[in-house]
Amino acid sequence: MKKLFSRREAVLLLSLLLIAGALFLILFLLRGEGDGEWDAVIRYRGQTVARLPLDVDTEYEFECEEGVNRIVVRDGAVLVESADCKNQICVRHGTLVPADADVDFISCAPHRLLIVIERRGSE
Amino acid sequence: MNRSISRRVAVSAVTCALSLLFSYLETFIPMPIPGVKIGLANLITLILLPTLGAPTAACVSLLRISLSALLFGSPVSFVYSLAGGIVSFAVTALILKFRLFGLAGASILGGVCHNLAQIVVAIFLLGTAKVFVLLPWLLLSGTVAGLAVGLLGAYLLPRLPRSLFPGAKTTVSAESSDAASSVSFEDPSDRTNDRKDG
Repeated sequence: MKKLFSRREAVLLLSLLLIAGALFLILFLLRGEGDGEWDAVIRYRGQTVARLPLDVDTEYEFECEEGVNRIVVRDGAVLVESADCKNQICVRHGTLVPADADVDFISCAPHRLLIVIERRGSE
Repeated sequence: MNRSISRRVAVSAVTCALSLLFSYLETFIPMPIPGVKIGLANLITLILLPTLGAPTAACVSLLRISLSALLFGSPVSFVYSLAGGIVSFAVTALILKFRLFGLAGASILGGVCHNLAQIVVAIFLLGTAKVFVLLPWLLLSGTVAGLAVGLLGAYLLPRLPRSLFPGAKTTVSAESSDAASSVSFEDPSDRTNDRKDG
């Protein structure tokens, strides 16, 4: 029987895993302190449609021709509570906090919706 | 000759249906990272490329992506799938053609490039370059998923009956000096080249 995996492929596999590891490390180092005032910025097709201050608990119903996402700001974090899309990736993502500003975001690809954290006054 | 053409059509149709089934079934497999897929349908591409050739494999892939979007997807999901599908197919086909790697390596790089293409699409559809923070996740998942599918393909290909693929022409090997990961049917010598008839 012939082997399924060559030495060259093992080198390829290891280098890809190393690159991924290095990128994870960079993202970890980029995590901010999260002090100061922050907004959850709601973007649709690249355009900002709302800025929700993270220090005020609110609920925001995002509506577009593709569908609806229910966005909630609670205890300094933002999350998507429910959405009428198929994959529910935005709901399963969970919360976004100020420390995530540079390294994380919530997206709903079917609705072309993006939620990011930005420092207030940075727009 | 005619029998071989009908057989090619039949095998293409059956494998296309099978890949569609794979696409559908894997939506039920829970994944540790939201939105990540194994890409089991790519197993069909890996089997078809070295046996029935790139044009047939491309048709089957394209048909699977279109039907999958029509049946279970949306216009937006179609754009993502198509971009990922075209790029990963091209990368996989070129690697196998120039024998840079065997099936496992081709599948790993195909998976990674599939995910890179989807990041590029996401940048345009979501309107932000911030999507790049997903890069390490997608690199990792593309590598692992590609490896799993690639090993499965490398295991299956030599075990499939040759009569399924009339005129199968090529053997797949990682490098000419390294027979370790070469994939071939039992008797490459009597392979008749009746592909040009079709």
